[in-house]
Amino acid sequence: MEGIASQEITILIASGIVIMLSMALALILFYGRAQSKLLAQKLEAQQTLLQKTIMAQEDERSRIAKDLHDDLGSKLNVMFLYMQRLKKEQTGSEPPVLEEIQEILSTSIDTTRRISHELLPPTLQKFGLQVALQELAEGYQSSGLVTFDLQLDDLQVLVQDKMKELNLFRIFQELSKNSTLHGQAPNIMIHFSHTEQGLCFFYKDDGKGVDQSHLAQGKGLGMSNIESRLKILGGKWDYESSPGNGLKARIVFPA
Amino acid sequence: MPPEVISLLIRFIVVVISLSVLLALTHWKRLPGAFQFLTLYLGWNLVVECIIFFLPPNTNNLPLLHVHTLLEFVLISLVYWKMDIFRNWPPRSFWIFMATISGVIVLNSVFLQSIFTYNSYAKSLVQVLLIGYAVGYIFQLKEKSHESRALNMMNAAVLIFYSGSLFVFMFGNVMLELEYEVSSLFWSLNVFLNVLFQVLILISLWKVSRVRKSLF
Repeated sequence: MEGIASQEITILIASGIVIMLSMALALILFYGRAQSKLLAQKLEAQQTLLQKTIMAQEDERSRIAKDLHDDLGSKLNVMFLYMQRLKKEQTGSEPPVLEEIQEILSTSIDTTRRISHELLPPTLQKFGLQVALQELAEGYQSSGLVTFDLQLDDLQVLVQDKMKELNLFRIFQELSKNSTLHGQAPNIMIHFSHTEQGLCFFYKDDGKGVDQSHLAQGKGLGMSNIESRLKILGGKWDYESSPGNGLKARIVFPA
Repeated sequence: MPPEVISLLIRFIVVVISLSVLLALTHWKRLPGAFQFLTLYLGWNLVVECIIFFLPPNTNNLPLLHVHTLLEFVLISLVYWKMDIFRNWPPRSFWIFMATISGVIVLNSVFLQSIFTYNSYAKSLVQVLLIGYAVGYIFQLKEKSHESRALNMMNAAVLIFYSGSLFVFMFGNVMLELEYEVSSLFWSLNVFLNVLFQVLILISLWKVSRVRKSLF
């Protein structure tokens, strides 16, 4: 009788242990999966939001650039013409204030044009990505601190979609800004090629570089922007960088 | 499991606890509050192991289990308090809860179960509560970060160890009536779970010691 009782107790304890352990393991597994799912959903939502923000930002930039160029720019130009006419009609000595107004007007026209071009480069609109990238490089090179090596053969033919061009332009704008501002790179290389995987850009600078683990831990707005634009393009990128060794990046996207 | 293996595993546990305490002390300032309380608990475990080591053979060391149960409850509750699982509780209710359960544990040792027997009621109650904390933490579903990964591992260690050993301690007194081979099998399982617990704690402490900033 005692033997049976002890057997029952043994079974009870053993079953209890098995059930409790199974429940604990199931909960841990559930938690792991739920957490991964939650994280994936959150990342997806963030990406979508960022993409929408980028699109809205581009629309807004385009609208402001257009308003600046067509509205404010035109009015300033008309004012400049009136000013010249006033100067012509002026008899006797010309008041110095007119000269100053004309000077300010001229500067304002230049500033309006520059802001409008920065918001939406007309070169990109009129002549496409290849020429816009050349112009971007020339802008940096004019400082005398950095040299660009561009190989963009066939880019004009292979990338014609305006939205694609704009996103790629913004990506290289961001990369060049990082390389010159943070990396202080003396040389930047942008090569374009058509590979089996798709269209491919190879970007390299010999700047200060950055610890890749820091990049992985917390991506800045610029990096997140690049990734969102790549997602819009249906492309991907991989990069490597370490302190003192500059940055190497490869961007691949479908033709 | 042969007694030699059990003895070897217990020594291994002492080594792992010592490593954990050493690691925690060298990174004390950057440790999140939860891990600081966990280190106090591990330190207490080390003290218990030392006392058992220096006690004369065949001495009843069960009074130590009564003290251990109380400190285990207090320190691990503080670990989870720092992990913010009581954030929805009304103010001061956590401290009232702590005082009540601590009182129950002491009263159990004074009036119900002698300090020379297993305090199975108090121990089971504490284990159920600790399992409850671990489950509560799971349902908070925190975002993944370096700190939370370490905390998740520590939480998994608590959940596995206390779930697995709940029935062993619950039937601690009853098991004295069972055949030696059977009861030693259960106690061996408890030692094995303790090894797993201490190793997971060591890994989680190592993970958290590599993080620069603390969130808790």
